[in-house]
Amino acid sequence: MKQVKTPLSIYFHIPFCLQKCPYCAFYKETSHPEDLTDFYWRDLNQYSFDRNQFFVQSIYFGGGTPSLFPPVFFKNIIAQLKKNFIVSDTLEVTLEINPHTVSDSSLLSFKDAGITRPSFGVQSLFNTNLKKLGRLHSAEKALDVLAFARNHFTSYSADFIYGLPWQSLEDWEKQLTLILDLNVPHLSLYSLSLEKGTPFANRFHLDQLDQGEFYETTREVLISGGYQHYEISNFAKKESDFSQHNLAYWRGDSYLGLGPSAHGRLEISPQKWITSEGESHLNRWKKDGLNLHPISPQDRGIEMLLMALRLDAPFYENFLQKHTQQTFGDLLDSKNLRKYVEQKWLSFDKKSLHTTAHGRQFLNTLLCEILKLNI
Amino acid sequence: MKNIRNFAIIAHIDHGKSTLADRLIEFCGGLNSREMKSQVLDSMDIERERGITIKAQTVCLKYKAKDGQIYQLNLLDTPGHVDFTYEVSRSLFACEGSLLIVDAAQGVEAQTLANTYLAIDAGHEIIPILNKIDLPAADVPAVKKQIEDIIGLDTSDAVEASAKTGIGIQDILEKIVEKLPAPKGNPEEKLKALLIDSQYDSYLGVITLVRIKDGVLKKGDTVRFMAAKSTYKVDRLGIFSPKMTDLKQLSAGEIGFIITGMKNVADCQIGDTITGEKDLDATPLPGFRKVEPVVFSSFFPTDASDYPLLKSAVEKLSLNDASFTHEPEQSSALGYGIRCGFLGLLHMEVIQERLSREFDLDLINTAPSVAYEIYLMNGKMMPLHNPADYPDPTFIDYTKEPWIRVTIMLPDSYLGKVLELCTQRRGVQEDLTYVGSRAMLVYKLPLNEIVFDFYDRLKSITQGYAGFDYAPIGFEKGDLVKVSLLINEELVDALSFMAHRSQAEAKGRALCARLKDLIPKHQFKIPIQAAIGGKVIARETISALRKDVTAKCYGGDITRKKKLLEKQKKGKKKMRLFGKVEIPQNTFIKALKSE
Repeated sequence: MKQVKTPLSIYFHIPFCLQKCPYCAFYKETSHPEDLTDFYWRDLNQYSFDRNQFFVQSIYFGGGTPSLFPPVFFKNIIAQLKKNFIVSDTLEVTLEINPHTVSDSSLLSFKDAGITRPSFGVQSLFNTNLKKLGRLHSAEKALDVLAFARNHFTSYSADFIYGLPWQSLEDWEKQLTLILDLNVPHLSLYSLSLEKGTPFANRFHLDQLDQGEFYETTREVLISGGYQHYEISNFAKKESDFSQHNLAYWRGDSYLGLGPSAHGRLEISPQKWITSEGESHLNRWKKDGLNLHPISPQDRGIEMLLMALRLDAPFYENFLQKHTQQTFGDLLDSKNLRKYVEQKWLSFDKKSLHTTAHGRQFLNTLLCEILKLNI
Repeated sequence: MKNIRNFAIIAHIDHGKSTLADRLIEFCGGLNSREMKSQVLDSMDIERERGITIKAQTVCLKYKAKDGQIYQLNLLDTPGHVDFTYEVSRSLFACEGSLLIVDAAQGVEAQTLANTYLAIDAGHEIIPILNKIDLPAADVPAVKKQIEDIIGLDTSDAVEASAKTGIGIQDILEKIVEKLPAPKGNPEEKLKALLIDSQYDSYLGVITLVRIKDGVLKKGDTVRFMAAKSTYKVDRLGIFSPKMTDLKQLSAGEIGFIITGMKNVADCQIGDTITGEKDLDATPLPGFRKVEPVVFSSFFPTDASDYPLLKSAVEKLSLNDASFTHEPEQSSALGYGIRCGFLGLLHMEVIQERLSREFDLDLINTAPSVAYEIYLMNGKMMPLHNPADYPDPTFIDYTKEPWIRVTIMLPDSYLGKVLELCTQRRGVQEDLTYVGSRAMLVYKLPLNEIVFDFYDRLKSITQGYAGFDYAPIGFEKGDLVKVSLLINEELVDALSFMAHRSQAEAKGRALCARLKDLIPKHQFKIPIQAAIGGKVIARETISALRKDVTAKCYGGDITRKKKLLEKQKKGKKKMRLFGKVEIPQNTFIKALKSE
């Protein structure tokens, strides 16, 4: 009998950037990029589990700026993984790319190395915004790179940031029109959040800006332009363009995080989960490795809910039960759940939960109300 | 009796009163060094931290003077703050002299002044002491001149001392013996004693401090508290040395403690006269009055189920403090709480702090209010302690509010700003004098105008250089109105306040604007209105929240996202629901602070 295998996603945190963007709070180094491949394998071996139970559905090289590394670096890692794991026929390999760091020829080399899905950090199509965001590339460069990608990749994505402290709604509406013209299969459109400790957080506040208005406009324009708004900040032309890797986070699949600030959740045996919460600096991580510890099925269940409800898709109780032994009743406040179902923030048909567009727009409020959080 | 000296110490906060008292106790051998802890007299944590004395305490010292005789020196440590003026005056009435301590580097402060006048009123002989002369910034001649010019005391006998290094301690003791008069009074007369203060001890019950004016009080006597109209048998009596030391009797001129079976300090009214049980025709000692609270504020538990805890905590505190009043209150907005009356602002802060510190209570306190007198059309006077009880204006003839006389001492460079502040607060200038580069300003002000943040404002505009003191001067008619606050069309009684009509609109507008910043956005628009009666005088609107969701989780970091949600939920728990609007509990106090 053929054994049913569990999907697994693998994230590589590559913590090097040419410079720090003033809004970014993610851990990175601006020193000379260092090949950390051996340390990634050490991390991988720290997760001791039966690899034969899993098949790898996605690989993600995130950063930092992973595109600072040459194609061969990724080629070797992908080859090594294929040697050690059962890998899906439709394996997705995403590489985050800073447009500043690539050329037509390097993009082709990345494709040859096994990257199936470049994800471009465009952020804005206006140079004034790019400058204020501390980005090194120009809008023209980003457009060139996207035009090249259109001809050479079936799947690719572009990231944008909106709701900037100085931005008018009109500025963003103009960009949305340009973005639609680009016809990119997948878009991640993030509203700026001011993260503690960043230069932006010290310089700006967003009280005056109605990010809700930006959010609603974004949603309307993209849907009428033929995109599916499948997650809070993510849009795709068709289902096959959805980010398989990010879906793993949202749906509650197992994923391994390798690198100093990488996070992982792995079901090492049925309903037994371990996590790694990378919050280390490069040298400490090199010395100590990952910090792995078990996570209770309740906590993992809560995590699954708070991620799954970001999607415009039903989340099934039988999935929750299968992987955490928890029921909706165990994790949800039934009185508040009823209240918000009545208010049409989400639908609940006994077997599954599905947030409405309105409910997703206020998801933090909704989660605070319906989840039994331990506080 | 001729070898007894009863004296009080007058000083501004931080001018070294407690340290000097410690040195005097040490010099006379009251405690050995192992027993000595810093600031022996200030026994409450709050007293020690803030450098203030709340309860009067006494220490009986034995001092062998240079004339070879042994003297009994009774040091009475009095509350130093204006809120306790009456208590201070009674303590002073128990003594014949005072030590006036002035920091030789800081000079005379407003508070020093008020208490010195009280001592002069009590007929005291006063010995000026210039403390901290070891400090490099000490300027003895300048401070002496201040004492002469501002207070009008002769400083030729002043002692120069440093409590820290011990300089001048013996000189002070000699001066006490030499300059202060021995108490008058007749041990052969019928018993007459002054009740100075009392405190509650969970083992001993009420401990009462007394000064025997005439006669002798013996252990086992039955005594009568004249104002309280109650009699008690004296189970124990004695002195503090500073350890509690039992004696068989206390006689005229002496200060000591008595313990009766009394369980409730309410029976111990400061300034009361204690006489023999059968001495029904005795005339009470002069100066007694019942203390009335002047500032009111309500406490509500943030968690409604904590109300019983709050109630018992308030009752426990009032065991030791008869001057603070309390009664249950119900607010439509905040649920069950307790309305308390205080002698002043410091008194209020001390009680607030003790409730949260000693009883670990999480409280919402409403804005302080003063006691108004509302004269109704039917000729009756209705005291108003809570704006929520404000009657229908058509029944009101006129309203009176309490006024105070404020003395402010400040470097003259800040004078302009301080005059402006006093004018804003409806002040009437009475006096302005200069001593060198320091100015002394006397203003008449409505208590209502200083009750909340006057001192904070004064300190901030003078960068902390101004000192401030006040005394109540009675009630005056005023054109006062009640300003009601409505949030989302619902009346929030805890935010309503009394104001002078000329300022009602500006204050209402400022409060609406602050609330707009303090109340988080909701899914719907929230109007905030201030109104006098049915007339809206100010309005703000909180726009609706249109999005509340985290944009991104970096690299599968769910942990952080979960923590943020937990934080958000915790924040929500600290909100109070008013109709449909959730308001953070600290809003009430924050909203009323101007600027």
